[in-house]
Amino acid sequence: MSVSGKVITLGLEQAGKKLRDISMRFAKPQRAFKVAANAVAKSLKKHFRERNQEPNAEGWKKSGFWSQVRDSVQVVGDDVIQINDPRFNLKYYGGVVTPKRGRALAIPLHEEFKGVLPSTFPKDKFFFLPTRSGGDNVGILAEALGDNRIRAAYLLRSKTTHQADPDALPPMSELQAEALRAVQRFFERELAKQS
Amino acid sequence: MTFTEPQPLTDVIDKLDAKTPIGSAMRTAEWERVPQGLRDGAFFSAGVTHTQFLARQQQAVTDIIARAKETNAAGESMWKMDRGQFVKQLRQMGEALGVQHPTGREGGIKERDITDPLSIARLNLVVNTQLELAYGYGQYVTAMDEDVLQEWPAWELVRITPRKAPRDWDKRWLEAAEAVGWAGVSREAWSQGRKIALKTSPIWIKLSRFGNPHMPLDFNSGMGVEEVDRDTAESLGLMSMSMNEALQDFATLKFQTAAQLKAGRGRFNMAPESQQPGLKAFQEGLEASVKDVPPAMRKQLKSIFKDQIEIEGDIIRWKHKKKRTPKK
Repeated sequence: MSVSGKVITLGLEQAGKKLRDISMRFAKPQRAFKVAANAVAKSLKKHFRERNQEPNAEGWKKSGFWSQVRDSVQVVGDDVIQINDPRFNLKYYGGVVTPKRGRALAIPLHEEFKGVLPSTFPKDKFFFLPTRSGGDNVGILAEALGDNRIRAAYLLRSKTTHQADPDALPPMSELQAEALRAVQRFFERELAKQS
Repeated sequence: MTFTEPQPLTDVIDKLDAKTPIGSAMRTAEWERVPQGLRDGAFFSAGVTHTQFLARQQQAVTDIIARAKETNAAGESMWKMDRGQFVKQLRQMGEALGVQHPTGREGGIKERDITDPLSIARLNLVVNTQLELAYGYGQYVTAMDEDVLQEWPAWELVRITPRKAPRDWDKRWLEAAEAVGWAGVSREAWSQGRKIALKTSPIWIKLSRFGNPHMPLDFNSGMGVEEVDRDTAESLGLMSMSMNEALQDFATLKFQTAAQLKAGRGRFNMAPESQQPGLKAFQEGLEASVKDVPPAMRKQLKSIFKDQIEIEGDIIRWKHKKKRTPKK
């Protein structure tokens, strides 16, 4: 995956000819695009709220990932809806993640380490156990618990591969329909005001 | 679908940039007694006195929202900041600066102790809350646009993230609705088990732990709002009640401290000529709250914040208040 900074923005040019035809009848058509953008943003937020009800795959306490993505939905200018959280890109596109700061990616093996980089802790908290299994697994970061017990805290991998999530976004047809419905309602009200 | 380069969230970043890092030993409840106009302009964290530490937090949150990038030693582009890096880097900085636990720290940092400024729980709370506040403001700016307000005049308070031990939002809603005299709040919706109010209703500020008319309403609340369209608002009696009554109430309310609002004392009171709802009204209310601070409170603020605060005539402001530079 390329961390190129690309975001998924839903330019409302794609709402179709009908939207443009309607809007051009009015003196300030950009107002309609603004309304359409808000309708799409509303639909996205509803979708992410629904996704956020899904339980955590490991049965851990939810981090609220989809809620955070939902918060990051912003309307920029008159007609651009931006999902500002860059983590969303991986959900939508899928891809391969490789380490950029360290030598391996650290996958937490216990709930208390979720979302926490191992280097947050004191240097002597973990020790490295290399793996012999090969492949993308590099080793384990383990923690001494006392009484001669240890536990694996993080799995270290050279890369992780992620499939695109087909439900990352609602269907585009649904978003376009919401945009058109909103614009039609808006113009009906504007026409009613003028008559 | 068009994939483009990201657009800067100018409103959100400007708002964040305009805040002044203010160090103080005050706890959250004490900060709630600071006039909203000052509180809104401050970047603070309960019990944290190191302004350098706070400034770094502020910059880190801005970097996340701005999607700032940097290049690693291998020439690969990467995000300059994310939530995990926030916790790690601020923890390391805090330790280097000697940021202390307000009541002392025995036996090292307890990671679940949110009163310790360097615990994982606290640093996660800070970054998550600051991002929610920043994004919430951005969504509010859009929501209060005149045309958007016409089509979606109301919000419904809904649960976004399930919680094992949720706060009693029904109770909070009812208390807040009664405190504001149900101004802009739908009784019909309430009878159906729903919490719906005009966006301009004073209930949103009343509900907010932070004194804002936008999300989030509290730390880790798991709550959010969904837009309610005009037809639904009309069917719930909100438009007939009238939006005008709610707007009038909103426009003539004076921003007291959040603590006073919660106690039901005082009313919003803004410059009489300011009758415009929404964002402008909110901003003008922030300015008014600073201008009308009584002498006893001014003295108290000066004693707490010392040289971080300055008083000029009827105006109290943070001394090193950043001025927003208009984008060219």
